[in-house]
Amino acid sequence: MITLMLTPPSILRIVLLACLPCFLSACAAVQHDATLDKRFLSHDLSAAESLAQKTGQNDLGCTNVKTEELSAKNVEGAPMGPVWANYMIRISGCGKEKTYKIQCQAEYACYLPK
Amino acid sequence: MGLLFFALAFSLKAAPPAPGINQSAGFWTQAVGEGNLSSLDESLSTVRLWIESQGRFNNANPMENMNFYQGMIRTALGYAVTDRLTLWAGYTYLPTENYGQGYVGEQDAWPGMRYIFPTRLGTITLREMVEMRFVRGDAPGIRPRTLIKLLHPFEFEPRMGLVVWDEFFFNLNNVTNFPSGGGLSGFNQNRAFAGISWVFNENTRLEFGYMNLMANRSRPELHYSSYNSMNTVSASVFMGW
Repeated sequence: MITLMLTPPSILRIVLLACLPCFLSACAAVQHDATLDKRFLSHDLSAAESLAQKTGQNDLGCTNVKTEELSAKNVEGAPMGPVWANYMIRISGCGKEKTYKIQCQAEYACYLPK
Repeated sequence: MGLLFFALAFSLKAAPPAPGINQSAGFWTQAVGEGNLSSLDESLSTVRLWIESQGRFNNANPMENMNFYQGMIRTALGYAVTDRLTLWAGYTYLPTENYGQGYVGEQDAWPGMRYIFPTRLGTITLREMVEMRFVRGDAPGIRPRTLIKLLHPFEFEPRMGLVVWDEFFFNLNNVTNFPSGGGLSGFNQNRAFAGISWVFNENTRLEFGYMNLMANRSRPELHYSSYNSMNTVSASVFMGW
Protein backbone atom coordinates (compact mmCIF):
# COMPACT_ATOMS: atom_id res chain seq x y z
CA MET A 1 0.00 0.00 0.00
CA ILE A 2 2.82 2.37 0.93
CA THR A 3 4.59 1.50 -2.31
CA LEU A 4 1.39 2.22 -4.22
CA MET A 5 1.16 5.66 -2.65
CA LEU A 6 4.74 6.73 -3.13
CA THR A 7 5.77 5.48 -6.53
CA PRO A 8 4.65 7.12 -9.78
CA PRO A 9 1.72 5.24 -11.27
CA SER A 10 2.24 2.88 -14.13
CA ILE A 11 0.14 3.29 -17.25
CA LEU A 12 -1.49 -0.03 -16.38
CA ARG A 13 -2.56 1.22 -12.97
CA ILE A 14 -4.01 4.42 -14.44
CA VAL A 15 -5.90 2.48 -17.07
CA LEU A 16 -7.18 0.02 -14.48
CA LEU A 17 -8.39 2.81 -12.28
CA ALA A 18 -9.99 4.74 -15.11
CA CYS A 19 -11.81 1.57 -16.09
CA LEU A 20 -13.03 0.88 -12.57
CA PRO A 21 -16.41 2.62 -13.03
CA CYS A 22 -17.08 0.65 -16.22
CA PHE A 23 -16.08 -2.58 -14.52
CA LEU A 24 -18.31 -1.95 -11.54
CA SER A 25 -21.22 -0.97 -13.72
CA ALA A 26 -20.75 -4.07 -15.84
CA CYS A 27 -20.94 -6.17 -12.68
CA ALA A 28 -24.06 -4.34 -11.61
CA ALA A 29 -25.60 -4.72 -15.05
CA VAL A 30 -24.96 -8.45 -15.01
CA GLN A 31 -26.70 -8.72 -11.66
CA HIS A 32 -29.49 -6.48 -12.77
CA ASP A 33 -32.96 -7.85 -13.12
CA ALA A 34 -36.37 -6.35 -12.97
CA THR A 35 -37.02 -7.13 -9.32
CA LEU A 36 -33.62 -5.96 -8.16
CA ASP A 37 -33.95 -2.64 -9.83
CA LYS A 38 -37.36 -1.57 -8.61
CA ARG A 39 -36.91 1.55 -6.61
CA PHE A 40 -39.74 0.58 -4.32
CA LEU A 41 -38.42 -1.12 -1.26
CA SER A 42 -41.37 -3.40 -0.71
CA HIS A 43 -44.25 -1.30 -1.95
CA ASP A 44 -45.27 -0.83 1.65
CA LEU A 45 -48.31 1.37 1.57
CA SER A 46 -48.98 1.56 5.28
CA ALA A 47 -47.47 4.99 5.93
CA ALA A 48 -49.02 6.50 2.78
CA GLU A 49 -52.41 4.96 3.55
CA SER A 50 -52.33 6.09 7.11
CA LEU A 51 -51.62 9.70 6.06
CA ALA A 52 -54.32 9.62 3.36
CA GLN A 53 -56.78 8.10 5.80
CA LYS A 54 -56.14 10.67 8.49
CA THR A 55 -56.41 13.53 5.98
CA GLY A 56 -59.52 12.03 4.39
CA GLN A 57 -61.25 11.59 7.74
CA ASN A 58 -60.61 15.24 8.43
CA ASP A 59 -61.65 16.50 4.99
CA LEU A 60 -64.74 14.30 4.66
CA GLY A 61 -65.78 14.69 8.28
CA CYS A 62 -66.19 10.95 8.49
CA THR A 63 -64.39 8.48 10.75
CA ASN A 64 -65.41 5.30 8.98
CA VAL A 65 -63.55 5.55 5.67
CA LYS A 66 -62.21 3.11 3.08
CA THR A 67 -58.86 3.48 1.39
CA GLU A 68 -58.08 2.38 -2.14
CA GLU A 69 -54.75 2.53 -3.94
CA LEU A 70 -55.24 3.87 -7.46
CA SER A 71 -51.63 3.99 -8.60
CA ALA A 72 -48.06 3.79 -7.41
CA LYS A 73 -44.98 4.88 -9.25
CA ASN A 74 -41.47 6.13 -8.75
CA VAL A 75 -40.63 9.63 -9.85
CA GLU A 76 -37.17 11.05 -10.42
CA GLY A 77 -36.63 14.02 -8.23
CA ALA A 78 -33.78 16.37 -7.51
CA PRO A 79 -30.35 14.75 -7.94
CA MET A 80 -28.35 13.14 -5.14
CA GLY A 81 -31.48 12.93 -3.06
CA PRO A 82 -34.41 10.81 -2.06
CA VAL A 83 -36.09 8.23 -4.21
CA TRP A 84 -39.76 9.12 -4.34
CA ALA A 85 -42.65 6.71 -4.32
CA ASN A 86 -45.78 8.55 -5.39
CA TYR A 87 -49.18 7.08 -4.57
CA MET A 88 -52.66 8.10 -5.59
CA ILE A 89 -55.05 6.98 -2.86
CA ARG A 90 -58.81 7.35 -2.83
CA ILE A 91 -60.60 7.82 0.48
CA SER A 92 -64.32 7.25 0.59
CA GLY A 93 -66.91 7.25 3.36
CA CYS A 94 -70.25 8.73 4.44
CA GLY A 95 -71.24 9.04 0.76
CA LYS A 96 -68.25 11.17 -0.17
CA GLU A 97 -64.85 10.52 -1.61
CA LYS A 98 -61.59 12.32 -2.25
CA THR A 99 -58.33 11.37 -3.96
CA TYR A 100 -54.91 12.26 -2.57
CA LYS A 101 -51.44 12.25 -4.01
CA ILE A 102 -49.04 11.07 -1.34
CA GLN A 103 -45.25 11.22 -1.72
CA CYS A 104 -43.06 8.89 0.28
CA GLN A 105 -39.39 8.24 0.72
CA ALA A 106 -37.80 5.50 2.80
CA GLU A 107 -41.34 4.12 3.18
CA TYR A 108 -42.14 5.85 6.44
CA ALA A 109 -41.66 9.48 5.44
CA CYS A 110 -44.79 10.52 3.57
CA TYR A 111 -46.36 13.91 2.98
CA LEU A 112 -49.04 15.58 0.93
CA PRO A 113 -47.43 17.81 -1.68
CA LYS A 114 -49.05 21.21 -1.93
CA MET B 1 0.36 51.42 0.53
CA GLY B 2 0.30 49.81 -2.91
CA LEU B 3 3.92 48.75 -2.52
CA LEU B 4 3.12 47.31 0.87
CA PHE B 5 0.24 45.35 -0.61
CA PHE B 6 2.40 43.91 -3.38
CA ALA B 7 5.17 43.09 -0.93
CA LEU B 8 2.66 41.29 1.25
CA ALA B 9 1.17 39.49 -1.74
CA PHE B 10 4.60 38.42 -2.93
CA SER B 11 5.62 37.21 0.49
CA LEU B 12 2.40 35.18 0.78
CA LYS B 13 3.04 33.60 -2.59
CA ALA B 14 6.57 32.74 -1.68
CA ALA B 15 5.82 31.47 1.79
CA PRO B 16 5.63 27.70 2.07
CA PRO B 17 2.68 26.26 3.95
CA ALA B 18 3.21 26.00 7.69
CA PRO B 19 3.79 22.55 9.16
CA GLY B 20 1.02 20.70 10.93
CA ILE B 21 -2.68 21.38 10.58
CA ASN B 22 -3.67 24.96 9.81
CA GLN B 23 -7.20 26.20 10.33
CA SER B 24 -9.31 28.38 8.07
CA ALA B 25 -12.97 29.16 7.50
CA GLY B 26 -15.14 29.38 4.42
CA PHE B 27 -18.52 29.44 2.78
CA TRP B 28 -19.42 27.25 -0.20
CA THR B 29 -22.44 27.56 -2.40
CA GLN B 30 -23.59 25.02 -4.97
CA ALA B 31 -26.37 24.68 -7.53
CA VAL B 32 -26.90 21.36 -9.28
CA GLY B 33 -29.38 20.55 -12.04
CA GLU B 34 -29.94 17.13 -13.50
CA GLY B 35 -32.42 15.26 -15.58
CA ASN B 36 -32.92 13.11 -18.61
CA LEU B 37 -33.29 14.34 -22.17
CA SER B 38 -36.65 12.74 -22.91
CA SER B 39 -38.14 16.17 -23.51
CA LEU B 40 -35.98 16.38 -26.65
CA ASP B 41 -36.72 12.88 -27.81
CA GLU B 42 -38.37 9.95 -26.03
CA SER B 43 -35.51 7.67 -27.07
CA LEU B 44 -33.16 9.82 -24.97
CA SER B 45 -34.87 8.94 -21.69
CA THR B 46 -31.78 7.06 -20.48
CA VAL B 47 -29.43 9.90 -21.40
CA ARG B 48 -28.87 12.34 -18.56
CA LEU B 49 -27.42 15.82 -18.33
CA TRP B 50 -25.72 17.15 -15.21
CA ILE B 51 -24.93 20.85 -14.86
CA GLU B 52 -23.45 22.39 -11.76
CA SER B 53 -21.88 25.57 -10.53
CA GLN B 54 -20.20 26.48 -7.27
CA GLY B 55 -18.87 29.59 -5.58
CA ARG B 56 -16.29 29.21 -2.83
CA PHE B 57 -15.26 31.83 -0.30
CA ASN B 58 -12.65 31.83 2.46
CA ASN B 59 -11.25 34.12 5.10
CA ALA B 60 -7.74 34.35 3.65
CA ASN B 61 -8.01 38.05 2.84
CA PRO B 62 -7.69 40.05 6.09
CA MET B 63 -9.44 43.01 4.45
CA GLU B 64 -12.64 41.12 3.65
CA ASN B 65 -14.88 38.93 5.74
CA MET B 66 -15.28 36.41 2.98
CA ASN B 67 -13.04 36.38 -0.05
CA PHE B 68 -14.18 34.71 -3.28
CA TYR B 69 -11.31 32.41 -4.18
CA GLN B 70 -12.72 29.70 -6.40
CA GLY B 71 -15.54 29.05 -8.80
CA MET B 72 -16.56 25.82 -10.41
CA ILE B 73 -18.54 24.79 -13.43
CA ARG B 74 -19.21 21.14 -14.08
CA THR B 75 -21.13 19.48 -16.84
CA ALA B 76 -21.54 15.83 -17.72
CA LEU B 77 -23.48 13.49 -19.90
CA GLY B 78 -24.73 10.32 -18.34
CA TYR B 79 -26.21 7.03 -19.33
CA ALA B 80 -28.69 5.42 -16.95
CA VAL B 81 -27.68 1.76 -17.14
CA THR B 82 -30.45 0.92 -14.70
CA ASP B 83 -32.85 2.81 -12.52
CA ARG B 84 -30.14 3.17 -9.92
CA LEU B 85 -26.87 3.14 -11.80
CA THR B 86 -25.68 5.99 -14.01
CA LEU B 87 -22.38 6.26 -15.85
CA TRP B 88 -20.97 9.70 -16.51
CA ALA B 89 -18.41 11.44 -18.65
CA GLY B 90 -17.80 14.99 -17.62
CA TYR B 91 -15.77 18.15 -17.61
CA THR B 92 -14.99 20.56 -14.77
CA TYR B 93 -13.53 24.03 -14.89
CA LEU B 94 -12.15 25.50 -11.68
CA PRO B 95 -10.90 29.08 -11.82
CA THR B 96 -8.95 29.80 -8.63
CA GLU B 97 -7.30 32.86 -7.21
CA ASN B 98 -6.17 32.33 -3.66
CA TYR B 99 -5.43 35.51 -1.77
CA GLY B 100 -1.90 36.65 -2.49
CA GLN B 101 -1.39 34.12 -5.27
CA GLY B 102 -1.83 34.17 -9.00
CA TYR B 103 -4.78 32.99 -11.03
CA VAL B 104 -4.97 29.31 -11.94
CA GLY B 105 -7.56 27.71 -14.19
CA GLU B 106 -7.86 23.99 -13.62
CA GLN B 107 -9.63 21.82 -16.16
CA ASP B 108 -10.65 18.27 -15.39
CA ALA B 109 -11.97 15.50 -17.57
CA TRP B 110 -13.45 12.54 -15.79
CA PRO B 111 -15.42 9.37 -16.07
CA GLY B 112 -17.74 8.64 -13.19
CA MET B 113 -20.46 6.43 -11.87
CA ARG B 114 -23.28 6.86 -9.41
CA TYR B 115 -25.35 4.30 -7.65
CA ILE B 116 -28.46 5.25 -5.67
CA PHE B 117 -30.38 2.91 -3.50
CA PRO B 118 -33.26 3.47 -1.15
CA THR B 119 -33.08 1.82 2.24
CA ARG B 120 -35.37 1.87 5.24
CA LEU B 121 -32.97 4.35 6.80
CA GLY B 122 -33.09 6.73 3.86
CA THR B 123 -31.49 7.14 0.45
CA ILE B 124 -27.85 6.17 0.05
CA THR B 125 -25.83 7.54 -2.86
CA LEU B 126 -22.43 6.28 -3.91
CA ARG B 127 -20.41 8.23 -6.43
CA GLU B 128 -17.01 7.56 -7.92
CA MET B 129 -15.19 9.95 -10.22
CA VAL B 130 -11.67 9.67 -11.62
CA GLU B 131 -10.50 13.18 -12.39
CA MET B 132 -7.73 13.88 -14.85
CA ARG B 133 -6.68 17.31 -13.64
CA PHE B 134 -4.92 19.65 -16.01
CA VAL B 135 -3.44 22.63 -14.18
CA ARG B 136 -0.15 23.56 -15.77
CA GLY B 137 1.68 21.59 -18.40
CA ASP B 138 0.52 18.47 -20.15
CA ALA B 139 0.88 15.97 -17.33
CA PRO B 140 -2.44 15.53 -15.58
CA GLY B 141 -2.88 14.75 -11.95
CA ILE B 142 -5.01 11.66 -11.66
CA ARG B 143 -7.32 11.77 -8.70
CA PRO B 144 -10.10 9.33 -7.88
CA ARG B 145 -12.72 10.65 -5.50
CA THR B 146 -15.27 8.55 -3.69
CA LEU B 147 -18.44 9.90 -2.14
CA ILE B 148 -20.95 8.19 0.10
CA LYS B 149 -24.05 10.08 1.15
CA LEU B 150 -27.05 9.34 3.33
CA LEU B 151 -30.23 11.36 3.32
CA HIS B 152 -32.45 10.36 6.22
CA PRO B 153 -35.90 11.98 6.26
CA PHE B 154 -37.36 12.85 9.66
CA GLU B 155 -40.56 11.14 10.67
CA PHE B 156 -42.00 14.26 12.33
CA GLU B 157 -41.47 16.36 9.15
CA PRO B 158 -40.75 14.24 6.06
CA ARG B 159 -39.79 17.25 3.98
CA MET B 160 -36.87 17.78 6.33
CA GLY B 161 -34.01 15.34 6.61
CA LEU B 162 -30.59 14.70 8.03
CA VAL B 163 -27.82 14.68 5.43
CA VAL B 164 -24.38 13.23 6.07
CA TRP B 165 -21.75 12.56 3.47
CA ASP B 166 -18.06 12.04 3.12
CA GLU B 167 -15.89 12.36 0.04
CA PHE B 168 -12.34 11.09 -0.06
CA PHE B 169 -9.79 12.28 -2.67
CA PHE B 170 -6.66 10.34 -3.46
CA ASN B 171 -3.85 11.39 -5.81
CA LEU B 172 -2.51 8.55 -7.90
CA ASN B 173 0.56 10.43 -9.03
CA ASN B 174 2.87 13.25 -8.04
CA VAL B 175 2.08 16.52 -9.76
CA THR B 176 4.53 19.14 -8.63
CA ASN B 177 3.22 22.09 -10.63
CA PHE B 178 0.04 22.63 -8.62
CA PRO B 179 0.61 26.19 -7.38
CA SER B 180 -1.11 25.76 -4.02
CA GLY B 181 0.42 22.39 -3.28
CA GLY B 182 -1.62 19.27 -2.77
CA GLY B 183 -0.08 17.51 -5.75
CA LEU B 184 1.65 14.70 -3.88
CA SER B 185 0.54 11.17 -4.52
CA GLY B 186 -1.52 9.65 -1.74
CA PHE B 187 -4.08 11.38 0.44
CA ASN B 188 -5.23 14.63 -1.19
CA GLN B 189 -8.26 15.74 0.78
CA ASN B 190 -11.37 14.67 2.63
CA ARG B 191 -14.69 16.48 2.79
CA ALA B 192 -17.11 15.59 5.55
CA PHE B 193 -20.56 17.14 5.70
CA ALA B 194 -23.41 17.06 8.19
CA GLY B 195 -26.54 19.14 7.76
CA ILE B 196 -30.22 19.43 7.11
CA SER B 197 -32.15 19.09 3.89
CA TRP B 198 -35.47 20.66 3.02
CA VAL B 199 -37.60 19.40 0.15
CA PHE B 200 -39.58 22.20 -1.50
CA ASN B 201 -41.08 19.76 -3.95
CA GLU B 202 -39.92 16.53 -5.54
CA ASN B 203 -37.76 18.48 -7.98
CA THR B 204 -36.15 21.01 -5.66
CA ARG B 205 -34.18 20.42 -2.49
CA LEU B 206 -31.95 22.59 -0.31
CA GLU B 207 -29.11 21.25 1.81
CA PHE B 208 -27.48 23.42 4.43
CA GLY B 209 -24.85 22.52 6.96
CA TYR B 210 -21.29 22.26 8.07
CA MET B 211 -18.49 20.85 5.99
CA ASN B 212 -14.93 20.18 7.03
CA LEU B 213 -12.36 20.08 4.28
CA MET B 214 -9.07 18.54 5.31
CA ALA B 215 -6.57 19.11 2.52
CA ASN B 216 -3.02 17.92 2.17
CA ARG B 217 -0.84 20.92 1.29
CA SER B 218 2.50 19.10 1.59
CA ARG B 219 5.08 19.65 -1.13
CA PRO B 220 7.92 17.44 -2.24
CA GLU B 221 10.54 20.08 -1.46
CA LEU B 222 9.38 20.43 2.14
CA HIS B 223 10.60 18.04 4.79
CA TYR B 224 7.39 18.21 6.78
CA SER B 225 3.70 17.61 6.25
CA SER B 226 1.23 20.44 5.99
CA TYR B 227 -2.54 20.24 6.09
CA ASN B 228 -5.31 22.76 5.97
CA SER B 229 -8.53 22.16 7.85
CA MET B 230 -11.20 24.44 6.44
CA ASN B 231 -14.42 24.76 8.41
CA THR B 232 -17.14 25.82 6.03
CA VAL B 233 -20.80 26.61 5.98
CA SER B 234 -22.21 24.94 2.90
CA ALA B 235 -25.46 25.64 1.07
CA SER B 236 -26.60 23.61 -1.94
CA VAL B 237 -29.64 23.65 -4.16
CA PHE B 238 -30.49 20.53 -6.17
CA MET B 239 -32.94 20.69 -9.03
CA GLY B 240 -34.26 17.93 -11.23
CA TRP B 241 -36.32 17.95 -14.38
